[in-house]
Amino acid sequence: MVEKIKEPLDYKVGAVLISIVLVIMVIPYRGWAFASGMRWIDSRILSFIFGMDFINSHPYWKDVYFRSPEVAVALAFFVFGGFVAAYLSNEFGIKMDKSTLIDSVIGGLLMGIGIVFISTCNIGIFLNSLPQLNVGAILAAIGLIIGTYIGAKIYEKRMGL
Amino acid sequence: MSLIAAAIAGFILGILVQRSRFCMTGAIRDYILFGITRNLKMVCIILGITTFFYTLFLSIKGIPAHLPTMVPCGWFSLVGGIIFGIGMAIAGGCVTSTFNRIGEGSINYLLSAIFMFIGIIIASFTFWKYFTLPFGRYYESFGVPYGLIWLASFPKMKAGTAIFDLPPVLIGIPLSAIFFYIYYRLEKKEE
Repeated sequence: MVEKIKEPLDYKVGAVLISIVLVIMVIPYRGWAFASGMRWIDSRILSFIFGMDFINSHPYWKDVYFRSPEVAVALAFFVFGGFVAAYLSNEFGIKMDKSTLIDSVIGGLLMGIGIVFISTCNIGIFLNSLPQLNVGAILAAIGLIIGTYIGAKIYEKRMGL
Repeated sequence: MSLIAAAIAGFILGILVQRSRFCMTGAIRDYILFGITRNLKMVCIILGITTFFYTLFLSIKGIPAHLPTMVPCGWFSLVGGIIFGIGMAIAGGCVTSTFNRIGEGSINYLLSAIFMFIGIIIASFTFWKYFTLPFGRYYESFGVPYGLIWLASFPKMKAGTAIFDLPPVLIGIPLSAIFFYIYYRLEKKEE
């Protein structure tokens, strides 16, 4: 098992395995989307800072505060799984690229704002809601492709490609 | 029970995503910039398989799956998609790959995740109140909370009041065939 993890996965095998996990996991849990996990953690932070009165007065936070912590658990174990896989294959290491730190900050902020608009992340849109032909997801997917195109062009300019 | 399931699913996905280098941003961005189709093909395979099974689960009564997933719908979906898309192309990873690379020890992605948390809080205080109805009705802003059921019951456009009353899998089969066809074309183009 450990030996298997050390090998890089072929993309076809990886895609099929990911799909199997996704299909099985909607039965006991839910689809693959970690934005709700982030919202859940945020709601705990806000309740710690501003107290419960604030959470109850703001429907966006009230909605997520009372959800099961499973969304945050999945997110935490996802990071842990990434760590285990990277550690076993000797890819783990503290890395930092100073020239793109500002991109990470701006990109992170934009993604956070986008999450509030579409209420999930792009995985939730593409792999979870789009297969169900959700109308909101179709609109968001079109937006995501346009946005990624614009973002890729900005990235291209910045990197001087 | 669902806590354990969530932990197992998160852990396995973490390993699979790290090992197969799956990246949703890369799928779109690499194709636009460099014409690399590897991640795009992965997305096509995953969509082809999951579309079939999700619609099958929706068609069979009695499968206790957490479906359909509800997503709010309105002009803000499009705008939010564009904002998110720009962000993920600049940061170099969506939520999933960002968190996966934190596990690999990347400081850049850690910073990106911290600002994602901040971004959610900022947007919830500012933009959010301008476009949302009270949260209970949020999902129904077009009167069509479930896409597939909407298609299967087309003229009435309201969930549960189907005229055709088709099982969603009838739409799922051609749709997953389309995804596999796109995969096939991409594969062929590379050869």
